[in-house]
Amino acid sequence: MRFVASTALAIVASCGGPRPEGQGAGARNIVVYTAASVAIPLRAALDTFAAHEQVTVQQENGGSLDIARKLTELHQIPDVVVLADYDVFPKLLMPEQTTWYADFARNRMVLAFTDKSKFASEVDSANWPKILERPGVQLGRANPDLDPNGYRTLLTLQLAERYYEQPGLYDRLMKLSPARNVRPKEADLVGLLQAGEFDYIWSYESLAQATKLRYITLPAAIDLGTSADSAVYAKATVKVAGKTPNDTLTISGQPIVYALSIPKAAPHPAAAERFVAFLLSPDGRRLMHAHNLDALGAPIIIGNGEPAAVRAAASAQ
Amino acid sequence: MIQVAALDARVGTFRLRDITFAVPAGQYGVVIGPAGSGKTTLLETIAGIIAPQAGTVMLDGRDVTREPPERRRLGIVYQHGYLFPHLTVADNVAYGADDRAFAEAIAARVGASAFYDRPVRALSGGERQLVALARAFAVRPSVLLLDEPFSALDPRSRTQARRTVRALHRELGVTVLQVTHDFTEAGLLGDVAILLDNGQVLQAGPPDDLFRRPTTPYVAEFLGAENVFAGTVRAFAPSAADADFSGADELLARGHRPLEFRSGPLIIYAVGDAAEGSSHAVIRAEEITLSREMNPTSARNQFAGTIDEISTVGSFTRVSVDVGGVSLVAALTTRSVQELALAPGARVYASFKAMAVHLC
Amino acid sequence: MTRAGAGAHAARHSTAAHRTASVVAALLGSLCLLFLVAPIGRLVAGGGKSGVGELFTDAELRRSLWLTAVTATLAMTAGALGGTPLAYVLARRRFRGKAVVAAVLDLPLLIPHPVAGIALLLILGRESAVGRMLLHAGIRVAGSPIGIICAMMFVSAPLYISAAREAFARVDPRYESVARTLGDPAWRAFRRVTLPLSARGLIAAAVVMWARAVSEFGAIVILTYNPKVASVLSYDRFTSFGLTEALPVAAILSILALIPLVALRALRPDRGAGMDA
Repeated sequence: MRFVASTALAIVASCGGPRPEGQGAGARNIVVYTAASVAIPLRAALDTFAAHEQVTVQQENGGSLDIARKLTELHQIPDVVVLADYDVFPKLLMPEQTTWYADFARNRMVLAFTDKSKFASEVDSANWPKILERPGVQLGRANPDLDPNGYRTLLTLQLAERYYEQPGLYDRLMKLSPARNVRPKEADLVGLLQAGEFDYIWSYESLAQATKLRYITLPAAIDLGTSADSAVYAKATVKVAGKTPNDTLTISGQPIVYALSIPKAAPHPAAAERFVAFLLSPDGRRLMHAHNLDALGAPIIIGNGEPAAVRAAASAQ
Repeated sequence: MIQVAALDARVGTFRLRDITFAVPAGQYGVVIGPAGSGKTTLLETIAGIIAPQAGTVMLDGRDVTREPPERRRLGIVYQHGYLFPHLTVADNVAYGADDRAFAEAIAARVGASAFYDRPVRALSGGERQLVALARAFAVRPSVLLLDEPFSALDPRSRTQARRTVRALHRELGVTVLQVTHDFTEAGLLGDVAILLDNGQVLQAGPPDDLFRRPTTPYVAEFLGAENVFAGTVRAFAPSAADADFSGADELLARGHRPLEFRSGPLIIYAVGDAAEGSSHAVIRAEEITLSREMNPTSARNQFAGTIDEISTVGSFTRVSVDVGGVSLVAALTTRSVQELALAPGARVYASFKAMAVHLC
Repeated sequence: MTRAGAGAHAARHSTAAHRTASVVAALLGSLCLLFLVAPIGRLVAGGGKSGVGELFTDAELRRSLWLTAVTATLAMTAGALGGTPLAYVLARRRFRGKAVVAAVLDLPLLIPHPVAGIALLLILGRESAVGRMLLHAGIRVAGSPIGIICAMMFVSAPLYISAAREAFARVDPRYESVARTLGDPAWRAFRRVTLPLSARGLIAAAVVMWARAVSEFGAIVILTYNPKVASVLSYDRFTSFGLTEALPVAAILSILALIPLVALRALRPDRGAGMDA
């Protein structure tokens, strides 16, 4: 009795450690990791793709850094990676996980609110700093260490101080959203805004539209939404946590661009290529627009070694 | 004093119905009944642990029906003592007492001094019951309720405990109501007996009344009457010389008359007020005498028969006599049985007075 | 086959059947044991030492552990204060709809934890009636330790009430009846008799509640992300920095989880002692 039991234990115990991803069973599958901020438009695209191709779709959402770690630390490799921060590709994922990525859509920072929010009828693109500083107004933001939306908020506030030429504006605005108003991801803020815990949250235009929130747009020089203003954006920098709690990473302002890639070890590369090709096609772009995502008219590919289908879709206008 | 009137109580699906009886102050009441008859429910209703649906409970002339248990000035001892396991014997006894010295004195009176400082789990069953009794007496109750407090004890402890309770009952003038399923205890202890069956009072009164004048054959049988016969009653006119009926003047004055009772081959003469027709006759075994010879006594009822069976328990013996196919059971002292040299198969004469026959 | 032979065959067959059953049972048991023990064992083996070291160097970890301990203890106290009378009523009284009440009290255990957090937000948030009153009094629920305590209580109090109810049910009501006839009003009988006799069970129930509170994540993170309790910190460390950084935190939390377990063991009644009086 004991012999059987200990043998069983020994056998099972000898199966240790995570195994590398093998070739997935069934080419009728496609696994996509998406940044939370583009989850909805990507879902729509995947559903359309799945209907045409008769594949089963698995989509997992998370923060961009979160997703990157799934590949690098947990060795969970999807077919397609879609991130809200194109920078994560060169910084964390290249060249081990992939050799290329494609910029395919863009976004900008907005201040989102609801009809219930305090002073909702007064706020606009010019007076928002004063409105936020009124007593009783609760402002929420995302964690800069976890969600690019978090550090982009900080960058936007720095740019605002410069733009409005009000020294000290950054600190005052930061005080309005102290640690207890911070949540892991932007998506976590929406529910609280709708529940009335927050009056205003820092969000992306796509997300505000998708969740039917009211929002005010910010001046182009501060909202990280225009490639033309890249030089202005670059003047703002923030420090976020790096690989360890004691490390820091310095990030400077860049326009918000969404990028995707197919990892080298993707389990279903053929299906992945077909999907990306579809996404970058005019049909795919129309679909994304319908879901509040500002798809680039001309996707830009950085790096090399991309599949031919992807290159073709990007150059076909 | 305990007075219960039209009491109705419900526990789950069990119901006590229309309970009425009284135990005069300072007297000893015994509730007899088979298992499941509601004896514990009755005690708990009187104690206030169970709230009645209807009726009243009066203790010492005070209506306590709406009062909580702690204001009724009574004590209760269950079959399982329910000594508080987390307290010592001393703390148990003194639990509700306002005078710790009195509590200790009661404990001594009850014989619990030897183990007064011990933890409860070191006690034997008999010792526990004594402590439980002391604890109840220590609060100076005017009424004490006992729920079969001795049935789990060995015979010696039982006798000792019974004696102690009886003594304290007299010394402290406490009105006691004790529940038992053992009817001999009722006979030994009680001033008032209440027979409870299936939630209802069948008969209440002095124990003697229940034994000798049971209102129904069921009561008679429950109380251990061994000679219960079904038959027919007819009026009977005795001759003037009939000695058996001469002692019945008092009864005759009260409207009781001589009667003839026929049950199968047996013809029994009785004195009672039963109407003509079908009835039951009850004769207690102790009322039947046996003799070797036909005895020209005054007893009108004399039967010849053969001894069937003899069973001896200690100093008492029960002799079963076959009289024309019917069994009569007589209770004799073992000594008498030996003196008469009675043995199964022997021919004897069984006789009993007309007044010993109870018709119901 | 002769009769004797058939009997022997049947006997041998049944012994073989027994042996197979025992083997299967042992196998399943071992697998289950392994499944439950291996992950934590691996965790502690991988990060235990650095975890202990980090206790001394990582101020955020220390703050988080302290916050977790304090909020869990307060949640446990509040839950015990409110839950004990409820458990007593459930154990002792019969009333209409008791089964429904008991079932409803178990609901928080069944709903997904984030759903619990959302439900609490609706009742205690800034926009709710209660939340508004609390804000007037200067008490903020979401984003504060109060929110943490509320979330902890919501998911762990039902466990306490269940277990406390059992503890009370194990005390024969007759002990209380006797105490009442001896002159104690109901509350005093409870204090002097029922409470001491059920104390062990109640404390064990409180420990279970504390342990559950400490391990909660989903409901807490909806209400209060900062300041971070240990569960939120470990998740945060993982998502921010990855496995290597999260491992020591996870390991030290697993080691600290032994505390309630040891406490529970110590509270087990000794064999033989009990309420056989």
